[in-house]
Parts: sequence; structure tokens; C-alpha cells
Amino acid sequence: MIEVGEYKVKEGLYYTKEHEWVQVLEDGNVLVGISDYAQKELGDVAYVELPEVGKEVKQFEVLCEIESVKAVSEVYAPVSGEVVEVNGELEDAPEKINEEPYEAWIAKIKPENLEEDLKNLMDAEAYAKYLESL
Amino acid sequence: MKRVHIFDWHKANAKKVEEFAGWEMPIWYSSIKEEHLAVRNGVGIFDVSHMGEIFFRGKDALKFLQYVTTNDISRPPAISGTYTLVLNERGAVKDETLVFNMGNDTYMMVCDSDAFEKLYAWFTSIKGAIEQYTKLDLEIENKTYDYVMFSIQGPKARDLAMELFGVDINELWWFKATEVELDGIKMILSRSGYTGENGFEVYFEDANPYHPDESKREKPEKALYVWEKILEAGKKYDIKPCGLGARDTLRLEAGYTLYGNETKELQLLSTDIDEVTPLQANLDFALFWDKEFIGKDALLKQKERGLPSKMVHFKMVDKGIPRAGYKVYKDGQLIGEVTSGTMSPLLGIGIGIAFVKPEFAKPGVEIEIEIRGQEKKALTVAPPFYDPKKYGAFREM
Repeated sequence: MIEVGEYKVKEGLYYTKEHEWVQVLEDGNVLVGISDYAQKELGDVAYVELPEVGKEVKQFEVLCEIESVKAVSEVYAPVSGEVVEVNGELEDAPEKINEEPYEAWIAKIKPENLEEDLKNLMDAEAYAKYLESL
Repeated sequence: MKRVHIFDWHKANAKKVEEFAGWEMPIWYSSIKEEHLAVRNGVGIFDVSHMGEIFFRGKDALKFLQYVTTNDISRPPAISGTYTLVLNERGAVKDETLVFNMGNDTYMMVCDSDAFEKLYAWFTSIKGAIEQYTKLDLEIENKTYDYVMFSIQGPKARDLAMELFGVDINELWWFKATEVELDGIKMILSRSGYTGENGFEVYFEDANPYHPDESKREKPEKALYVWEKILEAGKKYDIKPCGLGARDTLRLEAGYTLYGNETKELQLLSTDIDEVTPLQANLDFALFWDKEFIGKDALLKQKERGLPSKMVHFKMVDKGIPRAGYKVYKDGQLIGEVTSGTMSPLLGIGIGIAFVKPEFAKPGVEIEIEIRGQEKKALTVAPPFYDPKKYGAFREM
């Protein structure tokens, strides 16, 4: 874990400027979640509107909505592809995103063009530098 | 950006500091939920020095205030407050205020942080208009940047007031105030709040390092001392400093209206297309009909004509969180719009306030809230949202 001030950045993941993370799985699918920085900015997560399985998403387009007590925020798809699974646990326990942001994945995506898409993302070190610049 | 006296403390201790109505304010220190529950179960303290304080002094102050606000403020003796509304000529709410009779022909109006400037201008212009015909013994002064206001709320607030000020707030009726002293610092303490819980608020003047008038910018002498002293004394009750986030969820759970959301008027440069009168917002209790006041004629006409919409509270039956601006339906027909909504930290469900066609503005009506294109079931209820036997100022001990 890299620490930038009070924010943790998990190594081995890829990140977007909008603070989503991507974990590439062995089978070629990816897990998507939001970073520690994102959950701290949001505050208490109160509701996650999970995307529908089968939904086709394009990189950096809206994947789903996440609601804190205070406001609604959008989660953007870090890669293009098809949603093949969602984390149903978040329906009853959205606070998991605050508690363990890097465990509480939101959706599993079967990527269309992973190699190309990853070029548009940051690795952990680059993301840590990006956080420092904010 | 406007800042309160001890902004530096908030900046150093709050996790989220953000702009609210032109003020840079703490939104949460630890988390909205934690702070919210501290107030429902123990005690919390809010720095609400961004609230406006306008003073009215002189022999004509009472007469003037009776004319520019809706409630009868002639009866409560010094020192006590009256909840009263300021309306425009069309009967729409300019702001919801508390007016304290301070004695000696002096009145302090506590108003909203996003309304005090326009109110001060409004009162000054009315005074000017009257003075074209007759001289008034009246001085109006905006003391918003000078006055500190802390709000201490929760079932343990009473113990804290007893210990710090030797005052039993339960002996004071609602909005009754008294002069108190804390280590030589004199202040006004009123039994009041905006959370639904028992509690009190303290007011005193102090220097503000962020005063818009540069010549007045000085380090506060008392504010930080009082703030830390209350936090220290509240430690045994696990007191929490609370931000504006919890303030909003608490007032909504209690069912209270917020100026700018529920009550509002058309203003120059505003994007609002809506005006709301007290009749629509269930604020009739603050209307004293046996006097003349600005907006009265318009209200009487609206009574005759019928209300275009009326306020109602609702809780979600389906999962989902209502937010201001969402549409309200009944059997597929559009009947109104949400003005406030959140996830209730206490109940764990979505709750909100909406303005709907008057025939639906009663408890027990099944309605639908459109959330991101989907209609979600909700039910209208009577406030507060919590069980008043278990929570709030009138809970059974």
C-alpha cells in the first residue's frame, strides 16, 4: 500500500483520474471499484445503484451511480466491455466501500480491448503522484 | 468566501470543508452518520456562526418588526425568542427567523446564512420608505460577522448546560433565553435548535479574523476558548463536533423546513421559478392574523383561491434515496416535486419532503418517486420520521 497523506493507494491496480480502480484477474476479466481517496471524498456511502449484468459500457462513460448520505456521484467505467457480474453484497452493506475500498468491488467487466484501455489508466505510482498534485 | 471566527480550527479538524451559501464551512469532521447518531444518542456541538444576526434598536423596533414579520413578537418577555417569518409582498417566504426580545427596545433577529444580506437590505429599504413620511426611532445593524453562535444538541445537552452554566434548560420554555457566563465570558443561552433534540444555543460577540471589513479583522478572544471548553466538558458524553452535513440530515429527520429548499421566493439572478408561502409549507402556526404584516393580503387571497401545492413528508418503501428536484407521481400522474431528501442515518431508509397537489398532502398516501428514470414506491407520513417516544426532545426518559 502506498500512502499519500491520509489516502491509501493499493499497488498492482490501475486507476482513473476519476478515482476508480481496476484489478485485472487471471481469467482476463477485471474488477472495478473506487479508491480510498474517492470514498473519503464521498463520505458515508449510503446506496450503490449496481449496473445491470449484461450492460455494455465504453471506457470513461457512466457505469453506475453511488450515493453518499449527502449526494449522488457517478462511477465511470475504467475499461470498455460487458458487465458480467455485480457485487450484490453492496446492496445491503454499501458501507463496505468506506470500510474496505479495495475489497469492495462494484462490478466485474469482461473487457473488449483491455491492452489499449490500460494505456489510458495510471498505475499505482502514477496515481499516487496524481493524488499529491490535487 | 465568508468564514466563521474559528474557521482555522475547523479546517484543521474537519475531514470535509466546503462552500455552503457563500461560506466555507465544515461539512463533516468524522462522518455525517457518526455525528448524526451522536446527537440522537448523546450530544453534539455545531458552529453555526454563519447564521445571520440583525439587531433592531429603538422605540419603534417592536412596531417595525411586527410589520415586517408574521408572528406576534410583542408577548414573550425579555429574553426570549419567537419563531417568525419574513414574507415578500406576494406572501412568499423571504426567510424563517427567530426574533429575540433582548429588553431595552432591542431585538436580535437570527436568520439564515444565505438570507441575512438580502434581509438587511430589505429592512433598510422599508425603513427608508416609511421615513419619507414619518421619522422612526429605529436603528438596524447587521452583526452577522461579529456574532458567534454555537448549537449544542442531544439528550445529554441538558447535563452539559447544567454543568457549564448552572442552567437547567428544561426549566426554560422553548426559545426562552437567559444570560450566562463561562469563566468570565458573558453570553446569551437559549433553549433552541434545529435537530429535533433537546438542546441549547449560545450567542456572543467576538472578533472575526475573516471579517469582510478589514479594519475589524482580529484574532477572536473567546470563541475558541468556549468551543474547546464545551468539547472538553462533553468528553464524558462522547460529544462530537458536528458539521453542516449532519445538521441537514438531523433537521430532515425531525421534519423541519429549510429556507432555500422548502421555503423560498423568486429572487433576482435566482434560477428558482417557484415561490412558497407559509400556507403551503405548513407554517400557519407562525402567522398572527390579528395584525398587519407584509404579505398578509397575498396570503388571504391565496386562502380564497386555494393552494397550488402543499408540503408533505414521505419515506421510501422501495430502496433508493430521494433528492431535491426528483419528480413525484401518484398512479403514474405527476403530482409534485421533492425539495429535500436523504438517507436517514437513524432509520437506514430514504426520507424526504415534497410539494404536491394539496389533495395528496396528508399521511398515508402511496406515491412514487422517480429516481434515475425508475418509479420507486414511497409513503407519505407525519413528521418526525423517528419514533418520538424514543428520540427527539419529547422522548420518554
